[in-house]
Amino acid sequence: MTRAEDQTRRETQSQLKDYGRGLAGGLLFGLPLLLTQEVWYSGFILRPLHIAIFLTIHFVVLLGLVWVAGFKAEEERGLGALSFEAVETLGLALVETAVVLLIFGRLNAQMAMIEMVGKVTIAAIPVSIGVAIATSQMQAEQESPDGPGHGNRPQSREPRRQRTSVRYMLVVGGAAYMAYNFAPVQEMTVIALSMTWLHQLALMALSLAVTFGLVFALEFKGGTREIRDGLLEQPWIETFVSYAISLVIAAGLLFFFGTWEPEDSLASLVNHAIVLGFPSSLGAAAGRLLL
Amino acid sequence: MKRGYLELLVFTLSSLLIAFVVGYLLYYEFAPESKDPHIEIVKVSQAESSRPDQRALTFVARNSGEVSVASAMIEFSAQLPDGKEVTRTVTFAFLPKGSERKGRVQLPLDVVESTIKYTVVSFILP
Repeated sequence: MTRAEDQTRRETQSQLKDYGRGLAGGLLFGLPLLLTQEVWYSGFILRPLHIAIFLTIHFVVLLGLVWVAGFKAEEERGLGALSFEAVETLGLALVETAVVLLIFGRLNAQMAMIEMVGKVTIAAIPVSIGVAIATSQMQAEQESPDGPGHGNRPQSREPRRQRTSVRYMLVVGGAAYMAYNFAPVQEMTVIALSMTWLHQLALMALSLAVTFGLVFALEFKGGTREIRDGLLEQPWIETFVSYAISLVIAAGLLFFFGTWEPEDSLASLVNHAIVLGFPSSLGAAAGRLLL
Repeated sequence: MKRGYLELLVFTLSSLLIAFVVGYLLYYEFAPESKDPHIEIVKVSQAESSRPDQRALTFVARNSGEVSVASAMIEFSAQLPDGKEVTRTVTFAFLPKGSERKGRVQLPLDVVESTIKYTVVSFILP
């Protein structure tokens, strides 16, 4: 075997590992929704146009997640390389989702093509998030001069992670992933309808307190150690802005899944968004901690 | 950045898959077809019954319309030799657009076969 052939073989092996890690991450993050009945139903209840628009918006979020994390071991990448990886990420997620749903008997010959396409697309969204952040979560521990706790991430991404734009990208990614897990289920409506304004205020306070604690006060691994001067980087301001983003994402997903429709009252949207905003804000906090 | 054959293959297949998904969704949204549901029973056949005094029928319900429906209730009715009518209903949680679902119903063994009728009683547009 020549040196060039050996190099090619090693690169292929490395790429296969990247894809394997991505698929494993996709399964890990996407499995809860792959096994959720409401998600299967959403695939054929939702308007195809809404699914297509949502997929497009999700692709932009995916670009951000690939920029922050990504399933490949590459370090610095331009927009072209990020788009390349985001397309691969979504493609892997679609195939993985279709295979899993097929094995579980959720896709069969009696179904129309539009039902299968819709179902796979809706279920592939969280899977693709798992594929995108696989490397940062599951890559083998690397030696790090910064000591323990920094080894899971490629070192050149560490300073990038501290940028404000990246932290808010993680807020969006984490909030979207977590809210997506709960938005389609009917329990959200059951809880929202049974809450009084006191419950709602208490839940908002709890959401803010828990996320502030997770990210700033409880010294979790990945939490902010260094407070900077920027307005958006002040702990309480970051907590409030992150919570606002979580609520907006929650409201958007409630509309997307048809839980709230324009004919419904605004109060209904607020009720539901506060309920879904709790897991959404936890996801936003976890995103900043985990990646 | 130089890309390997494997990466190019995965990227190409992914691009085609995403283009198909988005294209199909948009085609389906804007195709000039009727947007009403149309539910029909396309196949009814005898099946082995779990009770000796009953006869079992399996059937296939198809929604050939362009809108998914929820709580689709299908009623089977038949007459007994003494003229009395018996009815059974089967409800599908969902009948997605363009898809089929299998169902099964049991009727008394002595119903007059020629009087067996089935009809879609109700459904909800989700």
